[in-house]
Amino acid sequence: MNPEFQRNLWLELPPHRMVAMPAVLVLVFFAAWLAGGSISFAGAAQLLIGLLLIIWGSRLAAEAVLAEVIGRTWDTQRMSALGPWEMTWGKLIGSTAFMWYGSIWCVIGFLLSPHGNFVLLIRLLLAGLEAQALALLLSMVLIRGESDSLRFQVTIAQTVTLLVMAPFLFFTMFNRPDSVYWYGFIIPFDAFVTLFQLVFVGWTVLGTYQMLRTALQYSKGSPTWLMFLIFSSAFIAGFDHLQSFVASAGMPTPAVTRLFIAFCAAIILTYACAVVEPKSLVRLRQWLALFFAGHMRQGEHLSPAWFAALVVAVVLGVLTVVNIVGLRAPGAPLPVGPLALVAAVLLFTVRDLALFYYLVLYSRFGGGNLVIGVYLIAAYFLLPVILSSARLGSLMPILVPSPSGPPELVVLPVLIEALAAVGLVIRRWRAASAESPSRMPGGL
Amino acid sequence: MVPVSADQRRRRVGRSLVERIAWHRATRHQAEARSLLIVVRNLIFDYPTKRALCGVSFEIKAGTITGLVGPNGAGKTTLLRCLAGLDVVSSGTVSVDRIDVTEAPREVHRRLGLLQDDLGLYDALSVRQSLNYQAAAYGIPSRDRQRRIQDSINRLGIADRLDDKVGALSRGLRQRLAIAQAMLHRPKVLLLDEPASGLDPEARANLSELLRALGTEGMTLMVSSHILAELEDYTTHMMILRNGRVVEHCPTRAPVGRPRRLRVALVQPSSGLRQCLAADPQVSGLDVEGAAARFDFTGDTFAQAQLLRSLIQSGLQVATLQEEQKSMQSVYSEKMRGMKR
Repeated sequence: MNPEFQRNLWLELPPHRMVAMPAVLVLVFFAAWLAGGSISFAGAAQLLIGLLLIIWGSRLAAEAVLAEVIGRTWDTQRMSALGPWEMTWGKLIGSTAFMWYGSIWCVIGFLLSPHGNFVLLIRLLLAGLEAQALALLLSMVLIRGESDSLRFQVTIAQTVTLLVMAPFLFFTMFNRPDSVYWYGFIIPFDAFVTLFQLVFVGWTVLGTYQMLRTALQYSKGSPTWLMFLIFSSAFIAGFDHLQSFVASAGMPTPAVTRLFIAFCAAIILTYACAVVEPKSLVRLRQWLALFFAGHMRQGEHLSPAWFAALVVAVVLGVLTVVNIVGLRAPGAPLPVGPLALVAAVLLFTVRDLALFYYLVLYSRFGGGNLVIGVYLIAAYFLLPVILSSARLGSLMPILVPSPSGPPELVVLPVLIEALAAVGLVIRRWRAASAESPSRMPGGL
Repeated sequence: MVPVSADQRRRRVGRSLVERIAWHRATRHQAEARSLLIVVRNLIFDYPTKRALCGVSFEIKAGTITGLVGPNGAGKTTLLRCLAGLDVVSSGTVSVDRIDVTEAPREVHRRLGLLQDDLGLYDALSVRQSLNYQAAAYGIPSRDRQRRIQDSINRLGIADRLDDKVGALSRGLRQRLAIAQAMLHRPKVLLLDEPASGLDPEARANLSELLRALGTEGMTLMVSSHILAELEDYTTHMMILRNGRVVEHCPTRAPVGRPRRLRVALVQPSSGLRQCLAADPQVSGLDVEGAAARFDFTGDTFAQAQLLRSLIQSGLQVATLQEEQKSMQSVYSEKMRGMKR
């Protein structure tokens, strides 16, 4: 048997727990049956599966690696002969074995009820696996930082997991449309969601495997993250409903609009990575040293996740621009608006990334992510609201990427801001270089 | 057959002698290189705001026990972690058993055991479960597993604790379990970070005895500790680390065949002491001061007894004749004082 799975079973399923779990569940089911008959019985089973697998299970999965780091057993595991795949499923299923054990009893209860919906049951079980895999993946991302508050990291991993799962659960459980319009196909909602869940689980497990592979020092990089970014951008661009959301961008054809949506998706992923991923100065320094020395492949495992996302965004942005320019009628004027919008989105992203690093790595305020959160709220919510209230809406392109407004107002201010932010980071980097024991790479 | 002149013959013999010496030298270098189990060159390790190791270089021979000492924050734990391939070095090279740690860390892990100061044990598991897990995690074939576990627990004296929960064990027993786990895969090198911290005197004595036994069996050990007197019991070498630099790496006792520093003291000063000692071909570096003399002595203990006899036969009133060993504490204090000056 997989030693990691075996160890988790020893810890998670001692005899007293194996007796206690069904005893408690039987009492809950009995209470539900007394309260409302078989409908409540099925509802209770559903609720308990959700609680066990999604809420509690995501917590346990997030702890699977972080508890090892806290308990100082992680290094011993890293030095063992355990492979990444053994670790992935040993931790994913092993650390949540108690929850799955309880869920088996809930499934039995659910199947005994005549009101049970089998499709919903499958979807709930898949959602549980998704939540656990995502929490484990996030915990692997969080241990890459240099934070001492590891207990807090468990809560972060679980909270982000639940935030990602919440809209999905809402749409699948309570607000279910009949079908999904994706790349022009009309797909039954249940089939689409089930397929999406399977693909999502596949990606998160693959991501966890890759992170463990790196942590166990098997490899120094893989194209998994890049493939995921391309897949996600293409997947999101497929939703036909999103076309109407970006109609104001003035893209010439639906195909270019999809490209623009994919570009926006890559930008959102860049921001998500930049906020969630711990920003380690040591890793950044090592990566830059390898990057400037031309050893990009060797430094791949050290690169921040946002970098690949930004590269994908830039490629998609360039493709969008090329298409906008290429598709105009002969002799027609250049559609400056959409081009300015793409440029502005990229420049805002560069500006914000530079400021994130300035705030987190070099600020004296501490609490990096909190400062970033305050900055994002101020920059993209408070200031635009103030500007609107002051009837200065025409100046909005200075604060947020805007499809309307003169192109010079859309691009120039943010270009200056981006250059200033990058200059600020380089200055602080040089200052840190002078204080630091080692010379910063790249001649900076 | 071409006739060979006497001169040519002499030259040929001379050349072959030179070649033979060169061959012997090369062979000795190769043997020495083979016996080097850990080789570190210009190792630099940076934390975000501090350089922990600043160009550390050293070599460790197979079968030695090196005591790694230094003040808090000197970089001892960081060095052990870099040797174990747990932290990626900023620059420089580390090789264990001629394998580059950065290039093939997994290969190095198979040859190495690490005992960290916090032990890293699963408190909720029993001792038996912990050992079974560790053996399986280190890929020990199931047919050998129980035998290896039995060997380890017998050796560490925890055979009667197999069903106890790890969390319920005393610090000394936890220490022994951690060492048993680290030794299960029979590593060539065992790195121990502050193994004696928190142990009572009896447990410390047991630990010293165990480490000495492992050294005798040919395992190479590197032990970081603050307790120098205890390291003295079992180490063959001492490495002093200060501010991320190796300031001293020396044997703790003179190797066989190397001169030992002896001190002889008379009841009262005598001019015959210098004459008598100087006459012995095994004596060098003579330093007479009043009624006492210090000197390097190449002979063994039998020769030392013979020397004592001849001193007494010369009519000198010998009060003591003993080997003068610098304690690790005195070497350490001298070095530290030297650094502060």
